[in-house]
This record gives sequence, structure tokens and C-alpha cells, in this order.
Amino acid sequence: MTTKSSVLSQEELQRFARQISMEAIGEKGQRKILDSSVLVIGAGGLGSPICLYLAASGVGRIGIADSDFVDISNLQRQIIHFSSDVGLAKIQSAQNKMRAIRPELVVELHDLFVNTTNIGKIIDGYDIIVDAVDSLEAKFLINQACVWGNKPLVHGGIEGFGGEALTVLPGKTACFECIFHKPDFFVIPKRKGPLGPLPGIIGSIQAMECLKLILGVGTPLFNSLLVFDALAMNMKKCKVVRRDDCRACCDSRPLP
Amino acid sequence: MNMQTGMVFPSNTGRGTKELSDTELARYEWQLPVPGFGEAGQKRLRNATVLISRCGGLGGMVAYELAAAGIGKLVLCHGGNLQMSDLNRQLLMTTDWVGKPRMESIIWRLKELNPEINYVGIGENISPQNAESLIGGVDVVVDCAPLFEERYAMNDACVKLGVPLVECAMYSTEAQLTVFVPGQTPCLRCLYPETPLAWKRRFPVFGAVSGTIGCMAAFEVIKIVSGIGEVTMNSMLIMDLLSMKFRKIAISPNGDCPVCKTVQTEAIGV
Repeated sequence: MTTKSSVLSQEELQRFARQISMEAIGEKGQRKILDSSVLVIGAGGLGSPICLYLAASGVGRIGIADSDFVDISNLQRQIIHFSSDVGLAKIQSAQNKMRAIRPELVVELHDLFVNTTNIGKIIDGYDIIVDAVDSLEAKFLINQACVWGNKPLVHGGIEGFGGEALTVLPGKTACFECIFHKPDFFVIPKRKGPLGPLPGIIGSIQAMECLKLILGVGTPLFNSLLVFDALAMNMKKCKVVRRDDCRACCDSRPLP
Repeated sequence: MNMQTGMVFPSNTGRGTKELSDTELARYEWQLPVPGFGEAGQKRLRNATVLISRCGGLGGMVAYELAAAGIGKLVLCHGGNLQMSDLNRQLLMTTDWVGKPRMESIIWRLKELNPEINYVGIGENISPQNAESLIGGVDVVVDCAPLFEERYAMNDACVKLGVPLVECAMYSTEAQLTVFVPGQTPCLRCLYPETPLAWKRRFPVFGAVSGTIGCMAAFEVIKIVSGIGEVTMNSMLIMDLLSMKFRKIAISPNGDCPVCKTVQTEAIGV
């Protein structure tokens, strides 16, 4: 990490004035945000608000991993991509929007879909990892890699009218696999359907979780699965616990 | 409101209007299969006009999501020039626009996102002078204004003209949301007869909080217009995203409310 002066510049004081005035942040907290790095895996419905809000609130370095291209059918929910971006790599389109909001932001593009061979290496350089993928298989993989690599993980998922979020401190709090049974093989469902604001809600909450972790304030979703139902506008927290026999986080197998 | 279907506008069936174009079918491909929504739901969105009062941190996200979802006409009200301190949360603003009118940046970004929407940009905030003329012909209003004078002007005009008002507000990491439907629910004045004393113009705001509540407000608009789900009426969702506490409280009309008393009386047929 580059060494920066601990004082905020005049522009930073102006730009972040409305959040520096929060008790939970202040100038010290803003410095922490500016010095932090986050990897967002997935530049789709969840990744859009996560990237935009992390960029706007001052995260210093954001990595974004995806290998897809913008399609017109993405635009009703993947709000970081515009009509004019159709055909462009999603990570490129995302970078353009983030830097239009804050030109000083350092963006690192990872043109890949995560797999067992590449994931360990790409999560290595970041403070926090965000699961913004739509594939269940990738969610288990990201969780496992974060647990093994000891990286805090912010999970989010959506289906139909429902959404969920969970924050994991490896070895300390319940991980994704403590809660959800990992199937032996994955069937890829071709289900469409979220109305755009749903990933917007869950993604914004994931961005908030990242900032709480960076600042060390508030109550992150540790051992607590947030469950949201958009049709009834109900938000509930389910208490979850670490499982002694969780194959992801309680197994002492060495790294692959 | 037709209680059986939950439709605030049973008349906006989306029927009898022109079919969705190929571009619309492609653009909205992922939301057309949503149960209870379908092509009829998409046409209802296309037929609707929604006014958003202030398009900053909160309203900017509402506008962003509603433009993406395909609301036919968006009337956007926001005055003033972009300031550097807006950029920690107002996603439709870009750094190169600092010092220039906010509304220009908003419309420019939204047109790039979805050029098929009819955007009407009003470069001023809501006031008692312009409220009624702006709301005439609008199906739903979303109130995202920080000042109570603006909120009251919006509320009073909505009650008078019978227009549903999605009311959302935030302070620091806290936020709240409800929908006022004239004759069916309390109005803003029932809940806040006078401006709360502690209210400040410049309060702390965190982007991710305005994003969460803004997307929720957009979802309420989609529910009202398309008829899916339960609209958050006669209850208020209150949340704090720092402590992660969420609760819903029941709210009810104030029988002595000077603004909506007449509407309440008409609704129960007295």
C-alpha cells in the first residue's frame, strides 16, 4: 500500500463533508476509508450499487472481477451499465462510472470468472472481499477461499422477491457454508426475475457492511443472516452459529 | 384503492395500449417473467408518470431505479448547482460537473441509461407555489426533500389532488419509509403537525443508506403502479443500518388533521 499523508486534503474534506460530520466516521474514519481496499466479485445487479457507493464514499482501491459483457437485458437492474455500454466489458463500463464519480479512485480490473485456480491469488491483495456473483457454485468457492485466506467476506444474494446478506470473519463467525449445505454438484437454474430495486437494496446494504468493517463501528451482520422480502417490505435477522463440522471453516486441511 | 387486488390504480390495466417493442422486450427481458408482473405490468409502468421531489442522494437513486425499470415519464425536481460535497452519495452526479446545474447531470446520466423514458427536468425545488401545478396529471409522487416546507407543500397538494405519496427520509445511518394514500392512510401532517424543532438543513448522510432506502422507495412505486405485493400503507418501516435494527410501526390518521380531515370524512361516506 502506498504511504499517504494522514491528513485529508482540502478537496477530500469538501467531498466527504457530509459523512465526516458523522460521529461514527470523522476525519480519522475517512482516512481509514481512503486507505482501504475492497475486491468486488461480480459486476452485475449487486455489484453495481456496491461499486458505486464504495467509490463515492472514498474507498481507496477497488478491484472488480467479472468477464462478462454488457447486454441490453442487464440494464433494468445492473445500474452501473448504460445503454451506450452495450457490448463493452462489464469491468470497463464499471470502471468508467466509478471514476466519473471520483477520478482519484484506483480501480483494478480482473477480467475473469473466479475458479479454484485463480481465486486464492486475486483475493490476496485486498482487505475485504464482496460476493456479488449470481452463481451458487461461485458463492461456495468465494466463501471457502475467504475462510482459508482469512479475508473478511460480505455475502449477498437475491432470488425472486427475496434477498439476503451475511458478513463473515473467518474462524470467528459463521461462514456461508455453516448455514447452507453445499451440494455435491450444481444445477444451473435459468431463472430470471429480479425487479431492479431488489439487488439495489441488498447491494447497498453490502456496501454499508464493507464500510462498517473498514471503520470498525456499528453491528455488522456477524452470526446474523439478514433476510429481506421486497413484496411485504420485511427485513428480518436470523441468528446463525458456526458449525463444528463445517467443511469450509472448521476443517484443518491445508490450502490447495 | 381496490383492496382485493391491492391496486391503487385499477384503471391502469396496461390493456389497450400498444404492444411492447422488440427493444422493450429485450431490455426488460429479466423482469417480464416476474410472477404477477408480466407484459401487462411492464405496460402499466410505461403508462405511468412519477414525480420525484429532489433527486439527490435519496431521490437520485429512486430516479435511477425507476428509469431502469421503465416508468414511462419521470418528472424530476431539483434546484441548484452541483457541489463537491454532493458526490459522496449522489450517484447521478459526476466530478466534472461541479459548479453546473445538478438537473443537467441527472438528465444526461439517465438518458444514457435508458433513452426510451420521457424525462421532464424541473430545475427548482417544490414549493407551495408550484406544487399543485406540477402534481396535476402525475400518478405517484416520491418525496425525497430534506426540508419540511417542501414536504408539507408536496403532501398538501397530494391530499388535495388524491395522488399517492411515497414518503422516505433519512438522517445519518437511519431511514424511514411509508406510503400515504389520500383517504386510506394518514398524511404527513397527521404524523408531523409541525416541523420538528431539531430539524437541520445540512445533516450527515451516508451514500449506502440513501441507496438502501431509495431502492425501497422505487420498489414501492413499482408495487403501486403494477399492483404486485403489499404497499407499505398505514405502517412505517424504520431502520438503522449502523446497528442493523429494523422495525415496522403502525401509523393512523389524526382525526383533527387540518389537511386530510375532509378526505378522511369523504372516504368513510359521512
